[in-house]
Amino acid sequence: MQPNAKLEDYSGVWVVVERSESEIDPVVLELLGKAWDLAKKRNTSVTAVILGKHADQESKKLGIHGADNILGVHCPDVQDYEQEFYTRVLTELVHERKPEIILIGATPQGRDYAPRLSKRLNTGLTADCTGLDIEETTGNLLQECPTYGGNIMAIIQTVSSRPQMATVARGVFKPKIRTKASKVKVEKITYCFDATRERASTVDIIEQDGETRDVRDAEILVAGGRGMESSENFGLLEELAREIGGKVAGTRSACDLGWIEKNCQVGQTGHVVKPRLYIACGISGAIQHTIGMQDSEHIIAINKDPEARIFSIADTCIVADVLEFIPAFINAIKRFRNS
Amino acid sequence: MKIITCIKQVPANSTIKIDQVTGHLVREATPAILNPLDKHSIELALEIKESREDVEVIAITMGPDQARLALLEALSMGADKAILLSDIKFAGSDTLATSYTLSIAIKKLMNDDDNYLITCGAQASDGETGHVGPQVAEELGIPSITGASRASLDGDVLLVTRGKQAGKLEQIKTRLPALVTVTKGVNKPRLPTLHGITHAFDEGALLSVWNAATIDADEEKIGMAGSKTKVSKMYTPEPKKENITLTGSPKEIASKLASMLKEKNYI
Ligand SMILES: Cc1cc2nc3c(=O)[nH]c(=O)nc-3n(C[C@H](O)[C@H](O)[C@H](O)COP(=O)(O)OP(=O)(O)OC[C@H]3O[C@@H](n4cnc5c(N)ncnc54)[C@H](O)[C@@H]3O)c2cc1C
Ligand SMILES: Cc1cc2nc3c(=O)[nH]c(=O)nc-3n(C[C@H](O)[C@H](O)[C@H](O)COP(=O)(O)OP(=O)(O)OC[C@H]3O[C@@H](n4cnc5c(N)ncnc54)[C@H](O)[C@@H]3O)c2cc1C
Repeated sequence: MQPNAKLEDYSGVWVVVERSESEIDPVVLELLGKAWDLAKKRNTSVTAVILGKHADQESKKLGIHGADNILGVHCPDVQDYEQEFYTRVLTELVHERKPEIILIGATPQGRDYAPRLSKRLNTGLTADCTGLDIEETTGNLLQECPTYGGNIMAIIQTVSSRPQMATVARGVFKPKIRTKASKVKVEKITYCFDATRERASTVDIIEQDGETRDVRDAEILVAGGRGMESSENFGLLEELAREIGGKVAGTRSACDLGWIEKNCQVGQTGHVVKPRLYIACGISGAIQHTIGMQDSEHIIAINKDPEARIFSIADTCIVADVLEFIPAFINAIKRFRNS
Repeated sequence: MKIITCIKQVPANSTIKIDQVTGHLVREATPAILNPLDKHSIELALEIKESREDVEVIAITMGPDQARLALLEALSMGADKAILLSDIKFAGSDTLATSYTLSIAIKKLMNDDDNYLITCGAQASDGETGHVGPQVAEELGIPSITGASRASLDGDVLLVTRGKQAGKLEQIKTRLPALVTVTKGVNKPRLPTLHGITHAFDEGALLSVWNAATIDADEEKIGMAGSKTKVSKMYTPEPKKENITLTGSPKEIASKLASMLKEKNYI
C-alpha cells in the first residue's frame, strides 16, 4: 500500500486474466463468478485485467462471466507472460487505480508473480484460498485456506493494507453466467516496458508426451484402484466414463500396475481434483489418495469391504463387487437414457 | 561465489493442535523436521559446489532456537556454514515479514558482493504458500524462477526446466544473482555422511545466531508488526456430512444409483 493512501481510497475487485494456449484459462472465469459476489457485497464493480493483446469476443466472454470492466494493457515488446512485466505493470496500475481486492489463479504463472507483486505493493497475499467472503462488520475479505493437508482450516485477513490479494486454484469456484449482462466497458492502454532489471527469459517450450488427458478438468471422474483386478477390467471404467461423460483416473497402485497412465493418478503425488462427481471403484481410501479427491462435490464409493476407509468420506456407499456392479450400472444408465 | 540455501523447520506430521485462546498453532507439541523440499534445495547447492572450485554453501533459517536442528542437518549433508535468525521479535511473521528478515540477513552476508545464487523449496509443508522464495528475490531486486524440476549453473547463467501448463515444460534462464525454488523432481537428496556429521558437531565454529539487532532490522517490518496477513480464526473442518448406503442386488442398486444421479442432474 502506498505510504500516504488510506484504506477507504481503495475500491473495486480485480481479476487478472491468464491464458492457457490461446484460450482464457478456466480459473479466470471461476474467479470472475466469485468476484461478482464480492463486488455485490461491497457495492462495487469487477474489472478483468488483461496483459497483452485481446480480442473482442474475449471481452464478451469475460462480461458474461461477471466482469463489468475490462482493462487491456498492450505492450509492443512483450508477447507472452513475463514475471517482471506483470509485476511492474500491475504495480503501477494498482497505485494509480487502487483496487480493494485482487484475485489471481494459483497456476504456475500466478504463483510466479503474485508473491512478488504483493511484496512490491507492500500488502498481504493469501495463498490457495478455498473460500472467499466479505466480513459484514468490517468489509474485510475473509480468506479461507486449508492447511496441514486439509486437517485445519484457517481464516486469513489483510486488515491494515490494501489491496487484499488472494490466489485460488482451478476448480475451487464454479463459473457463473450473467443472464442480463450490461455492456462491458473496455479500456485499452499501451505500456512501454523497458527491461532495466535483469529478467528471467524463456529459452524454449518443450511439449511432453502422453499428457493429452487431463483429469483435473473433468466434471465427472471414474477412478479405479487395485480392486479392479486387471488392465482389461479398467476397460469397464472407460465404458462407464463414456456413458456418463467423464474421464478415467486411478490410484497410485493402479498406475504402478500399468492399468492407467501415470498422469491420471489422483492423490498426494498425483493430481488434486475436485469434480462434481467422483466414482471410486475398488479403492481402499488411503489418505494419500483421498487428499487428492475428498473435496469432490459428490463421492460414490464401490468396495466389497464394508470397513473400507473410502466409505468414511463418501456420500453414497455401495458395498458390492465392482466387477459385478459396474456392468449392471452401465445397463441401468442406458435404460434411463432410453426411457 | 556463495550459494545461500533458505531452509525451514516444519512440524513432522499433521497432528497439530490449535491454541483455542490465541488461535495459534501449538508447534512444540509435535516433532519438527527439515521441510522435505528444502533437502532438495540443499542438494542442488551441494551439487553445484561439487562441480566448481569457488563455491561456499550457507544454510539460513529464521525460527525459534530449536530450528538449529534443521541447520545441523544441512551442515551434516555438507553445507559450509549456517545462520540461525532467531529473535522473539520475529515471532508471528507472515510471508512478507519472513522474506524481509531473510533478505536483509542475506544482504548483510553478501556485503555488496553480487556473486550469489539462492535456493529455496517451492513450498514449505506447513504454511504451503510458496511465497517466501519469490518475495526474498523481490526484496533483493533479483529475478526468481519458481518450481524447478531441473536446474544447473553454467558460469553465471542459471538454466532451469519447469512445468508450464498441462503437458508443457519450459526452459528458462537468467544471470546471477538469482533465486530458484525447487520441486521434488530436481534431484535425490544425499543422506548425511559420517564426515558431515562430525563437521556439523563443530557447531560453535560453523553456526552463527543473529537477532533483529545483528541484521539491523526495521522493527516495523518484522514479526507480527510487519505482517499484513493475520490468521483471524483456525478450526478443524467438520467431518463429512452423513452418507447413505444403497442396498439390494447389484441390479437393484444400479438402478437406484442411476435414478439418483439423474435426479441430482449429474447425468
Ligand atoms: C495456516 C496458515 C496459513 C498461512 N497463510 C499465509 C498466507 O496466506 N499468506 C502469508 O503471507 N502468510 C501465511 N502464513 C504465514 C506463513 O506460513 C509464514 O510466514 C511462514 O514463515 C512462511 O511461509 P510458508 O510456510 O508458506 O513458506 P513457503 O513460502 O511455502 O516456503 C518456501 C520456501 O521458502 C523458504 N522459507 C520459508 N520460511 C522460511 C524460514 N522461516 N526460514 C528460512 N527459509 C524459509 C524455504 O526455502 C521454503 O522451502 C500462514 C500460516 C499458517 C499457519
Ligand atoms: C508418500 C506416498 C505418496 C502416495 N501418493 C499416492 C497418490 O498420489 N495417490 C494414490 O492413490 N496413492 C498414493 N499412495 C499410495 C497409497 O498409500 C495407497 O497404497 C494406494 O492409494 C492404494 O491404492 P488402491 O486403493 O488402489 O489399492 P488397495 O489399497 O489395495 O485397495 C484396493 C481396494 O479394493 C477393494 N476390492 C478388491 N477387490 C474388489 C472387488 N472385486 N470389488 C470391490 N472392491 C474390491 C479392497 O477391499 C480394497 O479396499 C502414496 C503412498 C505414499 C507412502
